[in-house]
Amino acid sequence: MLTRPWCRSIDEEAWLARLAAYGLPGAPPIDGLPEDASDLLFHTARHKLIGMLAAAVAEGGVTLEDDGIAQVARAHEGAMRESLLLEEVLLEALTVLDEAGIDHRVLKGSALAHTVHPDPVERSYGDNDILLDLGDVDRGVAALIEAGAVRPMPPLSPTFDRGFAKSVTLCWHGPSELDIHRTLAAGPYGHTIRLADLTRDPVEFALAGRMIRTLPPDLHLLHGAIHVALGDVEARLGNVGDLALLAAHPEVDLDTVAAAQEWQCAAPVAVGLRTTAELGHDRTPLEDWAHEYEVSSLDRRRLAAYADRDGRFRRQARASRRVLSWRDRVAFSRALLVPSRANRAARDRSQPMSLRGRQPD
Amino acid sequence: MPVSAEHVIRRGDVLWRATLDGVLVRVPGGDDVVKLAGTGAALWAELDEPIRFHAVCAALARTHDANAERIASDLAPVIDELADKAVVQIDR
Repeated sequence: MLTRPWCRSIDEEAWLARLAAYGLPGAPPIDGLPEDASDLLFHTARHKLIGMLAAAVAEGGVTLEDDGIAQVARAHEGAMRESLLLEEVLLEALTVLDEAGIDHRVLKGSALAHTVHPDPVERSYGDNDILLDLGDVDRGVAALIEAGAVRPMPPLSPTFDRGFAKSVTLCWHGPSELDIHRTLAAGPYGHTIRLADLTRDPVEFALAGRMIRTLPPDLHLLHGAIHVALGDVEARLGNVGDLALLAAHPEVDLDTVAAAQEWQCAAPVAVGLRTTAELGHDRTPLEDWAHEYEVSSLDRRRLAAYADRDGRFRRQARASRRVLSWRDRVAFSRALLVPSRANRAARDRSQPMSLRGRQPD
Repeated sequence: MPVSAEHVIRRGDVLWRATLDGVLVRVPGGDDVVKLAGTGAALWAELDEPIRFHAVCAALARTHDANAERIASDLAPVIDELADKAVVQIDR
């Protein structure tokens, strides 16, 4: 069944799924590119799979004519140039945070490229994500702005970033996006994640001679599954491939489920992990658990808050209110109903933002 | 002192990626990415640990079935240029 409307055919979608599975145990073989591959290459890059394609070409996992290799090489070089630029921005941001005495963990793209993939050339990415302790979010954002970052959207209220936001989006060096995370998901599940767990057992990777802290593989898996289940309405196959790679990681096992349950996030983790079935590789015990997991009616209601784009923020806000304490619920609702003047001005709105509004940072 | 008498190594503070036809190196604070292709990429692979210039030339000569002296004359200005761009370090 065709599940992604942008694919021209089931074969095209299946080809991308096989590429996402490249290197996994039991992954099916990948055919060469069709003669007119421009659309397919576009979608390969869109799904953050151009690095996987380059790796497959280099290792003989995909056989191409010279023209095809040249097309892949150009696309991959462009993606790697962007990744290097983003890593430079990341290093600058981490320096600012270090100088302010703020601990941090790098999330997603760069961290997965360097700690989960066999070679960082396999993973391209389009922004930087840094997790801070919630007590440091305001100070960290202020330090980065002082250093030159720009915040396009001011906070809804003075306490919103550290209390309720998933992340604060900053721009640095032009369009380079830097997301400063307080938690791993928007909406109700973002509030049930036990944030203190996120700073345990950091893993380090080297970047330009510096050691950079990130999450251990099991927490990357939980983040990845939650992101696939709740983040984008349409999951990118590169993210699904990351998830399958993490599920097969030697340091990840069924104990990971316990953390998901403690965070009240077993349902989104299971839903996210189920997407790896599309890749056709050998399933791990964790993926078997996900397929057998029965989503409760409460979680079905919560998950519905993340479906479809229209009205998503309104539904997430309503669902968030139900998991917040009475006091937090008041502050959360007030911020949404009467956002700060700066926020209103940035949104070019004259009326107070209501629960009908769009998602802030 | 000529480069031929010295150890050469990649700078540890650069960002880099291999591509299908070379190596991209970005020097933090620099203007752009330096692309090493062909012998340049092979050179980069040899420089992950300090190595004497003549040893690099000998290794590349073996890999490419070429004359080591010819490689040395071609490579010396390249290494000097890469050192100027802070991509490699020449231990003095």
